[in-house]
Amino acid sequence: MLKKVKSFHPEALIGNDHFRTYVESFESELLRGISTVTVLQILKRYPDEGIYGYQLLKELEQETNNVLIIEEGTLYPLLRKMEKGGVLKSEKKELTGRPRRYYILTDAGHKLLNHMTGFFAKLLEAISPLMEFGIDLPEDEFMYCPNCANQIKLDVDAKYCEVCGIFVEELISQRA
Amino acid sequence: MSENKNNLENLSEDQRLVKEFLDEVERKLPFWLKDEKKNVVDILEELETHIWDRATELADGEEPSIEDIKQVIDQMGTPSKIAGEYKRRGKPKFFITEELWTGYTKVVYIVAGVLLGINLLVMFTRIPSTVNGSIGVGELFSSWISGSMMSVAIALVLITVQFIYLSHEGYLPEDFDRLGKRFVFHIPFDRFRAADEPKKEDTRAASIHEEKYETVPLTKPVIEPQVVKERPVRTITEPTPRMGKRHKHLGKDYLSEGIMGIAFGVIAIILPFMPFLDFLPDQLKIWFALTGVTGLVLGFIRFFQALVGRRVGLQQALLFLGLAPQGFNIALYHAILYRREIAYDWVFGFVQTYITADTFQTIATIVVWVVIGGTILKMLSDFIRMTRLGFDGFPQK
Repeated sequence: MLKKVKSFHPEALIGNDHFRTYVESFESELLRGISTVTVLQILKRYPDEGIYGYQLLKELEQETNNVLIIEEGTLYPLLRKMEKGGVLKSEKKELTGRPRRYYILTDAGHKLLNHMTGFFAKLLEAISPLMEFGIDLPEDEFMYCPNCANQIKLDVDAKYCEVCGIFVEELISQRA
Repeated sequence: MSENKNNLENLSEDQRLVKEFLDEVERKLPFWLKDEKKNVVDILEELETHIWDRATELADGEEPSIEDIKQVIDQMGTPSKIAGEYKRRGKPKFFITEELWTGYTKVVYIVAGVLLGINLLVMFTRIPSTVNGSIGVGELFSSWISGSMMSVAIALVLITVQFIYLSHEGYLPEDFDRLGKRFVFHIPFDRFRAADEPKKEDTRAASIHEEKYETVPLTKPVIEPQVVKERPVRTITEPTPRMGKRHKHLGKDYLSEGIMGIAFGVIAIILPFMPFLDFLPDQLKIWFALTGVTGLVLGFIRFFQALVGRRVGLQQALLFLGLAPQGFNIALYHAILYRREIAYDWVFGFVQTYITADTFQTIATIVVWVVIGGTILKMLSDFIRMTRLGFDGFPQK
C-alpha cells in the first residue's frame, strides 16, 4: 500500500526512510501469505477451463478494489512453485489470440485452500476484538475444525477432518 | 552470438525491447532452473505474453506503442528481482535453508573430524621432540590446539559461505540429483534432505485423543475405520521415503568434492606457513601449498559442475579443465619419491629406529604409486564420462 503512494507531504512519516522501510517490509511479509490464499481462491472459480496469469491479476485487482496488488514478478514464480508442489496444474492453450498457460486447482490444492481459508478466517475472527473490527464468518455454510481450523462445508458428508483427522461427523450433525 | 544479433536486427523496436528484457531475466535465472530448457521457455513465454497483454490494455486494445511496452516493463520490476523470486525456495533457517541444513552440518562434522585427525597426526610426529627435550609437552598441545582451531575455523567459514550461496540461489538437495546416479566415490548425502530423516510424529492430535495413529499420505485421505465410535485420529505425513539400496548421485558427489576441495585447498595453502608449524621443512610447506592450489582449483571446478547441472557442453568443458589439476597432482606425488628433501627424508627421520631404509623405500613407493594410480583412474573415468556425454548426453532422470 505504501509503495503505491506517489506524492506526500515532506514532513509526513513516510518521508522518513526508516519508517518507510519498516512499514514496507511489514506489508510485504503480511501480503506474502495472503496473496497465496487469494490467488488460490480466484483459481477455485475456474475449475474447468482454468485461468491465466494476467487474467488472474486483473480479477484480483478488481475484486479487491486495487488494494491487493500482486506484482507480476511475484505472481508467476508463485504459480510455478505451487504447480511444482502439486497444488495447481497447468495447460498451454490458445483460447483468445495468444497461446497462454492456464492454471487449474488440483484436488490437493482444494484441500490445502480449505485449510488455509479456515485458518485465515479463524485467525481474523480471533484478532478482531484487538483490532477493533468485526468479522462475520459464514458459520451457516461452513464449520471450522476445532482442532486445526480447516474449513469444512456443512452440506458434505464428512466423518473426519481431512487435514488433522479429528472426528467431526457429530459436530456437523449438531450444527445441521 | 551472431545468430542472436541477426535475430535482434530482424525484430521491430518494441519486440527488441521485450526480447532484451527477457534475455536479461534468463541470464539472471538460477542454474538449477535453467537446467531444463523447457523450464526457461515456459517462464519467458509466460512473461512475454503478460507484457503484450498488459501493453495492449494500456493501448486500449490497439497496437501497443513503444512507450506502452516500456511502461509495462518498468512496472514488472528489474530482471534481477523477477529472477530472485524464482530463487525463493526452502525454509529459511539462519542464512542457510532448513532443507540444506542437514547437509551443511554433515559436511562441517566430516571436515572438522578429518582436520582434527590430521592435526593429531602432526602432533604425533613431534612426540620424539618432547622426549629429547627440544619442545615441552605444553607447547606440543598448544600447537595442536592452535592448528586444529585455525584449520576448523577456516573450513567452517568456507563451507558456510558456500551453503549460504546455495541457499540464496534457491538450491534444494534434489537439484543435485539431476546428473544421474553413476559415480564411485560418495559422501553420505543420502540423508541430505530433512524429509529423509526419521519422521518425528506429530503428537498434538494424540494429546486430544489417545487412540492409535494411522499414517495416510496427504493426497489419499481415504479412511474407513471399522468401528466408528473409536474415533481414530490420523497424522498427515509424507509417504515414507524409499529406503534400502544406497544410490550414488553424481551431482551430490561433485558438490561434496567441490565444498571439501575448496576447504581443504585453502587450509593446505595457509596452514603450513603458520608459526606453530615452523618445524615443517620449507620444501614440504611449498609442497602442501601447491597441493592446496590444485585442490582449490579442482574444488571450484567440481562445485561449478554441481551447480550447472545437465548442460552437456559446459560439463564436458569442466571435466576437461579438471584433468589439469589432477595431472599436476601426479607430478606432485611423484616428486615425493624423487626429491627426497620434500618429505621423504623428514618422515624417515621419525621411523628409522623402527624400520630399515629399504623397507621404508618400499612402503613409500607403494603408497605414492597407489595414490598416483587412483588419480590416473579418476582422470580416466572423467575422460570416459566426458566422451560419453558427447555421445549419449545425460541419462534420463
